[in-house]
Parts: sequence; structure tokens; C-alpha cells
Amino acid sequence: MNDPAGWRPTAALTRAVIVGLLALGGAVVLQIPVLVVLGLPLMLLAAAGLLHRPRSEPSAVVRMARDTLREGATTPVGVEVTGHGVEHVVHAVTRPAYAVMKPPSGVVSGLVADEVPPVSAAVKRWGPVTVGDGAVGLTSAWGAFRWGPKGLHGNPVLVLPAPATYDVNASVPRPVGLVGAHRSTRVGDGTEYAGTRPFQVGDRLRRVNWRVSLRTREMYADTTHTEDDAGVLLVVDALAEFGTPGTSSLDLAVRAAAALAEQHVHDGDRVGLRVIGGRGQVLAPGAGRRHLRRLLTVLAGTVAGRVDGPLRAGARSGDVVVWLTPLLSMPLAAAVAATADRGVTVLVIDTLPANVEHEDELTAIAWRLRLLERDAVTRALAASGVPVVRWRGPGTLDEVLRRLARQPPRVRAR
Amino acid sequence: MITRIAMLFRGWSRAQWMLRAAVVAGYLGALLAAAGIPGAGQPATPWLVVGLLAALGAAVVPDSSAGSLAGVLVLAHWAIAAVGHPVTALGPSAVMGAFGLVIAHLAAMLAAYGPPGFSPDRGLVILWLRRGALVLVPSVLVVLVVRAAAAELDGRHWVWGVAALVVISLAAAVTLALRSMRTG
Repeated sequence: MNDPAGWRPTAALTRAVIVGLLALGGAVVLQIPVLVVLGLPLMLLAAAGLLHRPRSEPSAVVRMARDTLREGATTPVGVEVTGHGVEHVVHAVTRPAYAVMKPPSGVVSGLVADEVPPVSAAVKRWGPVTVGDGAVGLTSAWGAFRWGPKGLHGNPVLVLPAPATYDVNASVPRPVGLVGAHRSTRVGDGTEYAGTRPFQVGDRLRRVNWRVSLRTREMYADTTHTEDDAGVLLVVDALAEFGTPGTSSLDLAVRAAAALAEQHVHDGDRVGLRVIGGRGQVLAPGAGRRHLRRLLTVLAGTVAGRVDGPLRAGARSGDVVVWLTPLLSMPLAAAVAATADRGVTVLVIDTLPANVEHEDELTAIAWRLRLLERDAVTRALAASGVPVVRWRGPGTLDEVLRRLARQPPRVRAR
Repeated sequence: MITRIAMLFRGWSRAQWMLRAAVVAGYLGALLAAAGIPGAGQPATPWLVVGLLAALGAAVVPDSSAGSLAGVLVLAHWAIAAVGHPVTALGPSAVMGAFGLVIAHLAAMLAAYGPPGFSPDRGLVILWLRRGALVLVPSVLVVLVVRAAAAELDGRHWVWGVAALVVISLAAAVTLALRSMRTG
């Protein structure tokens, strides 16, 4: 009965027994019947509680519907209680980092017969997190015995970056490959008209333009653009994190990368990922929903951290490389320029948050100097043909991609 | 010390404040109800002070033994007030005293069901209101029976009558409890 892990009598039971017995004993010994009237209700409560004493050790486990969530999505955190004699459950859930709970205290309670309501938890930032840590306290019938409060271990949950609102109407420039949804710069088998030229050996008969052929008395054939897929390589700068967690440069980069990945995978493009800094995750290009899931999972595991050695995007010829960076690392800016020099189509999405708070005036001055250097880097990149755009959600890349598509192929620097 | 006490109070939910107020009110009400005994006056100031302190202790720490102390103080005061009035003390004031004790006991129990910020759910409150009303019924019956048979009661006979009522009440409670256990 005194096992700390088991059922223990409550203070209410002790109080009812003491007051009830004293009332009955006092009434008989002192011959004062009114004491029976006063003590009888408590004696009855104590008797009922003792009669309903639990006979087995209960168990309580956290129950959650999902092990992956999107940022901001709500998941119910419940507790499943089994065991004889449990009448009431109090479940307290500790608030995970960056989470919003409903109710805010994280404490819910209910009678077992009525189903204990769950706590709703919404995690507001991507990344791995444990949800459901807390405690549970069980009370037996008539409030006579209590089990706990006992600690509960939550479940690991992977919070995927929120699908930031984003779409793109422009095609990815210079796609390579032989299948896909984008119009290639190459002429080949497709549906979109490219032009009319004299018939050549190997042209299909259905391509012959009979009207032009009759008029000119020579055989002419229509040509079409091939429809190709595109390779998009997302490079996330995780060398450092600037700003407040939740709206930091890394948050912006991860959410933007998630949005880009989602859009391009949806368009049938092959999307690869390289995280520079932190764990340095690399994901080879791929397509499809399962690949998108892998991309989001890798993005959710991104942490900031420095790396030693040269920084490389690892882009292949024909890829479109999208750098997501606050452009505050000179080696990284050099790596961007080096990638562009290889003849690869490169564009940079600036992920520096608008407001970065500083501890003191000295830091603020240093930060302003750093921003001046950053402006110089941005101008230098733009001058070398690498567009730098701020992430602003829908249509962020439309104009840039159209401009890049109109440009002639970059010549590889030697 | 003051900061710690302030922190303690700050963590209480509105429901906890109400429950703890009910604890104090219940014990004080039970104590003051003894004034309804014919010939008994208001409780002496020391009784009130000690009773108030014990009630406050039970309210602040509802799962401590302060509640037992407050209950025993109420019984002691009633015992002193009812000396010489064994039958006339069994009036409406006795029911009021029992009511105060039950209110204080249940409020302290509900307050101790969870952490300081805990607000008892509606189902639990309704359940305990029903139970509280149920356990008060035998006390009312005892008062009614004893007062009805007051003319025939003399000497120690009433003790056996009351004891018989208690046994009957307990037997009824046990029977009901066993039946509810069997039916699950």
C-alpha cells in the first residue's frame, strides 16, 4: 500500500477515517449522539472508498495519432489507461519547444467512463521534437487511493517544414533528360511547335507540312520542342543561424527549400538537396512523392554548424542550382561564384531575416559593417550573372527563371 | 518566504480558489453551526482562531493532515457544546454542521485531485455533488429518527439506537457498493 509506484491512500481517505472514527467513538464514549450525525457522512465515504480499493497495478501510456507533423499542424496527445478500479485520470503534458498547447496549461482530466480528453499540441518549428512528455495521476473510485503522479515519456515526432505558399509559372531553364513537363531548348519529339524546315532523312511522315510543301514544291517538315524533365539542386546554407529561432535565416531557408522542393517535385522535376554546414546531408536528385518525403525529412533534420574544408554544391552539368543563403559567409559566396563559373545555371535566394536583434550597440555597429560587406558580395554576384532574390513566397522565382531561360547557355570559365 | 507563498497562490486556477474557499467556509460553517444548539453560544474566540488556522492550512495544502485537524476541532467544539443536551443538540444545526464538514472534505479532495492549476472537470464535480448529497441522507435520517423518538429515549438507550442506525447505514452502503462492483 505504501509502494511509491503503486496505489496509495489519499489524504481524503485518511481524513475521513480519522474524523469518522473519532466521531463514532466520541459519540459512544461521551454519550453525545450529535457526533454521529457529524461523522457519519465521512465514515460512509471512507467505507465506500475502501470497498472499491483497486486490486491491480494500472498502466498508462501516451497515445499519439502521428509520428510526423507539418509545422503548425495539431496533434492530439492522449493517455491510455488500463487497470482495475481507476475512476479518474489527470494527464499533464509538458509543453515541447516551439509548441502551442490546448489547453495552455497542458493539463486535462476526466472520468475513465467519460473518456479523458486529449491535449492538443501544435509545434510551430520544423525539426525533431519529443511530444507527450508529462505525468499522469490516477484516482480510484470514491477518491480513496491515488496512483502517481507518474512520469510519462512522450513519442519522438518529426516536424516537417510547413509548405510555405509558393508557386512558379516559369519553366526551369535548360532542362536536360528526355522526359518531363518542361519545354526543352532542343528540338525533338514533342507537341509544342518550334518551326518548319526542309524535310530530312529520318523525319516522320506525320511531321510533313503539306501546305508549305505544295506551295514550295519541296518537302518541308514541322519541328517541335522536346518535353524534358529538369534537375533542380537545392543548396541550403546551414553554416550559421541569424535571427530569432522560428523566424531565423535557417528557418527561412528550410521552409523555402521545402516549398521549392514541393513545387518542383509536383511539376515532375528531379530535385536534389545538399545542406552545407551542420550535418551536411546530401540527397541525390529524384522525383515522386516518396522522394519529396525524403527531402522534407532531411530538411527537418537540419542543424546549423560550421564545416571545415572547401564548400561545394556538387552540381552536375544541366542542373539548376538554387542556393538558399543569407550570404554572410565569404567562402560560401565564393562557392556560389565557382558553381556559376562552371557553366551551371545558378540563382541565390537571400534568406536573411529583415530584423535581426542585437544584444548591444557595439554588436549593432559590427552588424551594420557586416551588412555593407554583404551588399558588396551581392552586387559582385549579380555582376557575374548570378541573380540574388529575396524570398517572398509566391512568384519569388518567376521573373528570375524567365530571365535565365532567355539567356544563352553560360560558357564554362577556364 | 513571502515570494514563495505568492508564487504558490499565483499557480492556482479560479476553480482552485473556489474550492479552497469552500474548504475554509465549510469548516468554519460547521464550527459556527454549533451555536444552534439550545443554550450554546457563539464559539469562543480561541476556538475560532484555531479553527480558522486549521481550515486555512487545509485549504492551502489540501492533501495534508491539516484537514483532519480541522475536522477534529469541529468535533471537539460540538462535543463541548452538546454536553448536557444529548437529544436537543440533534436539530437542524447538526445537519448544517454535517453539511459544512462534507463540503470542506469534498472541496479539499477535489482540490487535491491534480496540480495547483488543475480545474476539476464537469463530470467529476457532478459525481461528487451526487455522492455528497447521498452520504448526507443518513445524517438527516438519524436526526429525524432521534427527534421523533425523543420522548421514548432516556438514559443510554439512544446510543444503541444510533449505533443500530449507523450499522444499518453502513450495511446499506456496503450492499450498494458490492452490487455496483458486481455489475461492473
